[in-house]
Amino acid sequence: MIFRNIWVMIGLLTAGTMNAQVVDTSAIELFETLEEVQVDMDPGISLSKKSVLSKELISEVELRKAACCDLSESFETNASISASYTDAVTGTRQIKLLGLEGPYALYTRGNLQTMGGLSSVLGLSLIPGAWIQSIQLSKGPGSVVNGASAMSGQINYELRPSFTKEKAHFNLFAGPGRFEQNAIFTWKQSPRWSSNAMVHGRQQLFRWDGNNDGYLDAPLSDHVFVQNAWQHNGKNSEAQFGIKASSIKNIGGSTLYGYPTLVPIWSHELKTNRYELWAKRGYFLDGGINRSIGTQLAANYQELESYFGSRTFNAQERNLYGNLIFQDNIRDTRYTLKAGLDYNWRNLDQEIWGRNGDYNILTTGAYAEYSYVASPDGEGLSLILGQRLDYLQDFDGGSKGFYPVPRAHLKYTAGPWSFRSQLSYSYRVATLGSEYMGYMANNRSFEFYNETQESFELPVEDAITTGQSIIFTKDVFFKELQFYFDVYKTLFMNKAVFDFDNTLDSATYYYGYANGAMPYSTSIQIGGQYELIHRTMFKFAYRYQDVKQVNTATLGEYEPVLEEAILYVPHLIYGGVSYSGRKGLGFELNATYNSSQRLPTAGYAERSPAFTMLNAQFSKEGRAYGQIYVGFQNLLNVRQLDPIVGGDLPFDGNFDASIVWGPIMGRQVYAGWRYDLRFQE
Amino acid sequence: MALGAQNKFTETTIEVDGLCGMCEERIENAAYIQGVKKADWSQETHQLDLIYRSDKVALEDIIAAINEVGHDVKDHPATDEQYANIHGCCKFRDAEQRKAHGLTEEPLCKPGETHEEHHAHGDKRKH
Repeated sequence: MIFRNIWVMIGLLTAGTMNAQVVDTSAIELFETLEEVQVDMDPGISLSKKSVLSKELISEVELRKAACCDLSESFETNASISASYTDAVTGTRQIKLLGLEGPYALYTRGNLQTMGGLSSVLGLSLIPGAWIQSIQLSKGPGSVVNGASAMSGQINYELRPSFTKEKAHFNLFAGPGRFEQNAIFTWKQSPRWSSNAMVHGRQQLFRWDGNNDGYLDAPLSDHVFVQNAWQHNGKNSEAQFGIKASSIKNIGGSTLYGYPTLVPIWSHELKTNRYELWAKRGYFLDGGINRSIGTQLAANYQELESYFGSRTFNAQERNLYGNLIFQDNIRDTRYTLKAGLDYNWRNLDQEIWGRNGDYNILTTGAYAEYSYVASPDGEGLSLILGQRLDYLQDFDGGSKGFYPVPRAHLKYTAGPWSFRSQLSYSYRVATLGSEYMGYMANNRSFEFYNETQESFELPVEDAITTGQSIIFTKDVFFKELQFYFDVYKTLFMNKAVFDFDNTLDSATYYYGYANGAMPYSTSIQIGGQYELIHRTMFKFAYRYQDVKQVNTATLGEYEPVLEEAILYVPHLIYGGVSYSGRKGLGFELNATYNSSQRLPTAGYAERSPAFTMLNAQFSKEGRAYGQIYVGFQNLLNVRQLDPIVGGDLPFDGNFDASIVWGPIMGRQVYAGWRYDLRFQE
Repeated sequence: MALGAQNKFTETTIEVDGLCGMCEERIENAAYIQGVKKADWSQETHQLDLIYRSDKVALEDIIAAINEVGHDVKDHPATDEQYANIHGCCKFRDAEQRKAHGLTEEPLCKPGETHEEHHAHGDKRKH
């Protein structure tokens, strides 16, 4: 008996220590790659059970299910994110997450900040879909390590790595008047070094005016992006660095652009060049992968020249970002501490709506984050507690201050159930101009409420986010059934608001705290996926959103009131079927029902009609020829027929191309080809 | 009823030769034919875990499907023609490739002997 007890004791002890050693809180955040996505029958989208943050992994399999030409178009098979046009002339698409516009999310490439500022909205079209290996979507503010600005969530995309079996990747795409070319080349210098180069071209060559309103449905465009990235895997270190140059030229507006006309025409031109440099370095300390020191550096320069009819918008931006991250275990690998320092300097010269819109801000921050994981497979309790303290300096306006940012994430997993809860504070500096570029495509006069004549107060928006989610994952008849339900609420203290309700020829801008009227956004989503028929995945989702903003007409009153925000979809229903055959045959069908959206009160119908977008795609893959795909977008041919109000009198005050609630292009057919050239080893 | 339904499912494990993640994808995709509920191949152990409905599909059909893409199943090798279709980096019968992937044991079948052996097992999976 005694012997037996001793053996049990030893067994328990070894099990305990073994357990402690096996625990891996997924290496260093800095170099986190998404290889864990590899599952035997890749469902495309999978909700992470292990991560404490609420993460959705969108793999290349999913990205291939839609036309997917750049990051803004990568979410067509995803109900969490809605994509819409910012206006009817620039062809720029923006995404909405948790009912908030795109810039409220944080965009990172391999966990390094990439957008923001001048590229907040436009930046999404600088990431070609063919370059993306996978996307990680986290809802709600994430880790303090990545800064304080993620309000609605974090969209982390991984580009195709240079350490790969693929020597080259090619992609050609053709849509209505639109052509894209992508090429990626990898060369292996040594087992330690690798590098790749990516090239992207996109052209809109034909003048397309399906609704016969005399304005182009999609701008004529010419995009060229080039990137070169390097990776080094040392014995105890890892490094990545790269350089990227992007150039966009767009021409939109009247279909008569470039032709001699008797009357002046309304046109739009946009030229922008962006240069990016980045470097990441990580050193592993003795004693395990969980102990490391890492640095991230990024430098960006962008120049933009554009005009919208008689309104011009020119800007230059310089941005420097640096982050030093230290990570160590406390006692054993179940407890991790991350701490670090970062800075973010942004210098933006611009003129917006006839006033000086310069930004010259520096954020210096220090942070610490503690995480606990009870078990390596994510079972039981795990939590992340983070705190950062930022010092924000505004060199132009002189306003500055400390911003403490606390964040807490909790997860409890029991069998098939995972419960997550979070409570976070976040703040961000809104970039007027670029974030609201769609609002330039009109002749409204912009009134800045309570602001001085020449400039405006630095719009620092802050909000508290709460989030709750439940995920149920279980094998039913040997196939994974997944259900989820989540509720998020973002409550703003200070927010920048553009109000189009007051008159048809004006817009009111307001920033600040409106005595008790706190804008908010609530998002509730329920959904699931299951391989109901052999090799056929079924997905469904329902999303409810409630977004309120300050009614600027009541700002003069003692207690201002909230009103429903314009152009958000309160009820969304998504359904998708995806078949992937044994011999490389694929078929996708995706339908999204968008309920009616509120439009500005002056000069518009009260609400937009509800509409359903239906997309389908066929694909065939074979070793000899790669993958060929043919698809249809907007099969039901739903269109917003009047995206431009007052288009026949374009220089009149009533001209407005900023209110877009639905698709501008009707039914479209596209086709493409992808090919991977593998190394012969 | 539940019990009756359960009885139709057969769980088994077979040994399939292969090298890498690309092979894993190919093997699992090949084995996942109508009637198969789960096909999970391990790169380390070379074992393919199968769950299938025995009233709908026979094990021989699954093996034939794996052979068809060029992989050898224990006692059921692929033909040389089938094997030839396998990508260069996945030539699992090649001694050097095996070494490069850290495999020490001999391949399930050696080049040359495969053809005869295949015919000894009948030509059910001839295409």
